[in-house]
Amino acid sequence: MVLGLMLGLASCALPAQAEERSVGEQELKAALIRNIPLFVQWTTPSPRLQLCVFEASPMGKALAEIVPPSAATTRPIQLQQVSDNPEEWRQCQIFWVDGERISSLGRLAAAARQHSILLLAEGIGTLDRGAMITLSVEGSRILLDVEQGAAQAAGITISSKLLRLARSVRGTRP
Amino acid sequence: MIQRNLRAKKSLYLAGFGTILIGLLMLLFQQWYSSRETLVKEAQMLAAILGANASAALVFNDPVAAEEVLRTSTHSPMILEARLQQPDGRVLARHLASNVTATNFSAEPIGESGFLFVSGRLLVQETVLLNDQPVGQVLLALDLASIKQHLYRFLLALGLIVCTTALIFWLSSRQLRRQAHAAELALHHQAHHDRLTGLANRFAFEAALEQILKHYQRSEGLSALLFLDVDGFKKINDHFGHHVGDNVLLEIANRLKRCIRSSDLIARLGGDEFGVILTDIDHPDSALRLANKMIAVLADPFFIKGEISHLGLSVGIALIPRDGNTAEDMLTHADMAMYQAKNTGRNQAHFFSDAIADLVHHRISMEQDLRLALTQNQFFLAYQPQVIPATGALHGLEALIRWQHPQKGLIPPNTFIPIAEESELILEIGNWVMTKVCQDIQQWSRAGVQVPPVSINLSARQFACPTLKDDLLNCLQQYGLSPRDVEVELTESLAMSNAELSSRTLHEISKAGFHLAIDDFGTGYSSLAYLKRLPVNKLKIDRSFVIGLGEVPEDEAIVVAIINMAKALGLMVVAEGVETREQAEILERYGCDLFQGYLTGRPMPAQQLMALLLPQPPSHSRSVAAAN
Repeated sequence: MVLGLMLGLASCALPAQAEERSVGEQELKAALIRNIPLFVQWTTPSPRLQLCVFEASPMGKALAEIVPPSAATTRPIQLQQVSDNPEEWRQCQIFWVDGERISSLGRLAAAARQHSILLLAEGIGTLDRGAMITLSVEGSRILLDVEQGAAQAAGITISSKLLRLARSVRGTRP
Repeated sequence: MIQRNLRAKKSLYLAGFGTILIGLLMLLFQQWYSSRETLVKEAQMLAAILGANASAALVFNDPVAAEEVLRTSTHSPMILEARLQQPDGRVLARHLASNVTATNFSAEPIGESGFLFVSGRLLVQETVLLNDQPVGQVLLALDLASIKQHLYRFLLALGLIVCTTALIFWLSSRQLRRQAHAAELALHHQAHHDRLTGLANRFAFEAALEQILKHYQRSEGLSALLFLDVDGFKKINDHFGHHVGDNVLLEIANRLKRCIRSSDLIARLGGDEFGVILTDIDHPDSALRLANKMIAVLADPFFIKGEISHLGLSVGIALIPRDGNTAEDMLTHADMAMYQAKNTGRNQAHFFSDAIADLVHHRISMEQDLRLALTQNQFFLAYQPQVIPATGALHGLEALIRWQHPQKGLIPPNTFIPIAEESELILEIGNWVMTKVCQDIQQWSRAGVQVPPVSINLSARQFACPTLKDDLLNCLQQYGLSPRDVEVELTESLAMSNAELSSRTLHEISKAGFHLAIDDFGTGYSSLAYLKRLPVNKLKIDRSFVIGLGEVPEDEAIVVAIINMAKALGLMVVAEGVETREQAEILERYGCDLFQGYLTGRPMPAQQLMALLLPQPPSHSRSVAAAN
């Protein structure tokens, strides 16, 4: 399933001032990342959502601008920059992995399974390496691919409403 | 009445249909209302489902996915249009059914209820919530044609049900309606017909009479009213009982019915009275012919319980419209004519006339006067002597009633006694006579007069009275008299009319010690064999024979025969109406025992008689004839 990107997306997802300037790929991805938790359930819900990125992540700035909050967000989302130390990862509910940090995915996947962390990544092949949802750019659109198996292993349920928007869904429970 | 019933039935049916119609309209309205409600609920539910399914598409601003969600709604033909809108009103996706104009949702004031009916459409607006936050809106426009179709089907079904129910009801109640109709007819028949004979009753007869009288107010013509009274029916009822009497009445009705045309009306007016209306006759004689025909058919003998009985018929005829303006007048006049027919010998018909009306009125006023006479002591008695021809000695007296009317003067007995005999008045008058005779005898005795037996005349009604003997004895006892002081007279025809009854009564009276005399002898039809057995002491030769003595040889022959027969039977003979010496000589020659008449003594009041009978000086003859 294809998620078409439109300029109008900012009107629902971004603060009003973002509407005026041209929206970059990072901002669009950030808006998507911000809305994805709306359609995700954790087995052990926590009162707030910790969105973690690695220190010096290129998405840090875009995410910082739009988090918080979205209209539909009931739980506050906190943006947290973390180091390589897996001890810091346990507090995260969502983890954004930039393309250049794919190498960390193996360890992150282990932590995600253990601590019920939703792993979001970009780049080809990331689903095979433990990411649960990947964002990829095709022309002017951003596409979603979902690995359900990994999410389920981490005790995370992705809503069918979100699955409907995805280009591909893998690891669906038989 | 039938017309009125029809009107009542019609309005009943109308009321029934009206009620059903109102009920149907209410049902239809209810159905329309609930259909709308259901549609609103369904539409809101559909909108909610669409919204829920499209929430992600709304949040991620994905028109392709949104359209896909909306496409699911195209399965319902009711959905004319479906929209998904962002919270700011921007349309994310839209589905519009083919050949349908788009709805301008923003122009329609859809309130908080979330729906609105406008120009044949239902508009529904549903806010899409995600985690209780609005993320967009679903807008639907639905076609109401489906509701209308549903209503038409409902109406058709209702109509079918009502028609079927009505048909079933109509069929199943047919029997009931038939019974009700039959009962109505039966009631109508009962109200207008005599139960026993099946003829019309008095009520129906009077109604028909009124109709005919009304008819003659407008047009010319002649009809007749016949008033029929059966003679001798009471006798049969008394003798055989009411059950047999009813059967005889039925037979009478059938015989009479056969005499009339189908256009005429015959009714039983009550008891043994019948009425006939003979319509459109050419001449009064037609009515008379019918009356005579009816008299003839009733003259045929009736066979009752093995016995042959005879009945008679008296008919009064009144002509319509000549003889009255109202049914009541007509009936009264026909009744008067019938009365006259009965009085003048029965088995005949009389037309009503003013003379008859006068006669009846005269009779009625005479009856009233008679009653008054009894209470006001207007009667008095005159005594006529019966003397022994040879000596002129007084042998007996006959008490004769006289009526001194305050206005009309002295009224002879042959004028008022027949009228009194038609009613119970004769009994009262008879009692008065008996009492007065007893009083007078007592008075004479007290005055020292030696009184011969006094004859008292008995009427038919008195004679038929079962207490006759006791009444006589009681009266005598009251004044200290004995049966030998009076003599009882009854006419020959009365003594012979009912031989068995007369014989029994006469024997009873005779045994009680009374002497009996047969009055007016020679005018009736005496059976000598029967006469022989009666305990009679005296025969009185009717005056009609005595008058002819010396002039009519046949009268003389009859008188001789009577005297000889009386002698042979050992009875005394009295000649009535002896007025001349010639008559007296002839009678004396043939051995007549006693004379009564003007020659030997006129009837005289009690006082006058007493003066005559008081003991006289020996030089005077005691002949009463001297008094005249």
